[in-house]
Amino acid sequence: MAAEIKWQELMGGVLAFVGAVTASATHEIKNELAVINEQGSLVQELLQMAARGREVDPARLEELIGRVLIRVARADGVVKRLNAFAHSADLERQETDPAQSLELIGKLFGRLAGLRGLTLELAPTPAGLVLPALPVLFEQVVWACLRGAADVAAKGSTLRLGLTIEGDAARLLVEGELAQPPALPSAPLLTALRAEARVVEGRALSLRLPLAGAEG
Amino acid sequence: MSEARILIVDDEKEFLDTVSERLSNRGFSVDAAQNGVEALGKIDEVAYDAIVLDLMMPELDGLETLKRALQKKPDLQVILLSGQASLEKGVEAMKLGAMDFLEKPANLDVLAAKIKEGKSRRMVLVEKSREDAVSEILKRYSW
Repeated sequence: MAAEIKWQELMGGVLAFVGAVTASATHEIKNELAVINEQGSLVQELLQMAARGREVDPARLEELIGRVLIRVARADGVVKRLNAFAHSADLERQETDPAQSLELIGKLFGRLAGLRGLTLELAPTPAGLVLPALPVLFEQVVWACLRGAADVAAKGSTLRLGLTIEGDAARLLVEGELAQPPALPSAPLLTALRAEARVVEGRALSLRLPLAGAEG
Repeated sequence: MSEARILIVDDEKEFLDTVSERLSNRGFSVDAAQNGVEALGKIDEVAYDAIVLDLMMPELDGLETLKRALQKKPDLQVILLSGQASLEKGVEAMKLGAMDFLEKPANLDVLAAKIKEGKSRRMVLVEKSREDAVSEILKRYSW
């Protein structure tokens, strides 16, 4: 008999996950805005100096404006990812394209990995796979695996995230230089995804998830 | 003479470079550090009037850097400057002894005014500690 899904705990976890992703992404946007603000203000101040007769190198202004445009593009990238993530919680979407979700979560987690001195590598995901799950739940479990591994990974090391096919299931693996066994995702989340999680020889976190069409 | 000798600490290099240039243009003498460890090394070498410190940085975060900096130089005036919109960390920073907490993107006029305020506060503290040292000597030798 399938284990009963604890909806209240599950939804509490989803809310915390959405909050964590939103906090991190908005912080990233604010940092980009801060750089844009500084560079734009510096251009303004240099132009004011020029108006007062001080010589200003046009190449310097061009360089600063170029940097502003790069930062605007970066901020736009974060906003697009946040928007895509917001749509992960659409309840009509009962299936997940794991390649899309892994890329999204990999990028969203990248900043947190960087803050911990870690590099995140995402292996190419086989195309055309479908998981019978709400995207937000799959993304939450990926995030939880990454968080668990990042918490115990050696500083300066690399975390590798990948998904492979194993019969009628998908195998998600987070590998790295882990100092101790990482924490597993919560039981309600694993139950809702019909997933099995385990630690492999203390160096990786492995998750088995049924593919769409597999027996329940 | 410069407005104040300051250290800016932020892991975002472009932010660091631009704020440093803008504050230098306003007459401040500015040093920069890209992480907490580098900042603590500079604090050992230079008597800064104030430091402007980012909150979220790899290796040593802003709060830990703040704690260690104040252990080294209790009269140091630390202004936290963070992209984190929540007040929680700001309150924590103030409890740890930060002079103030500003949110990014910050108005440079406001930041410059805070730095000058930090310099004045530090001068009062330095003066007081000199007076305390002199009165301690006078007491010790019963003068």
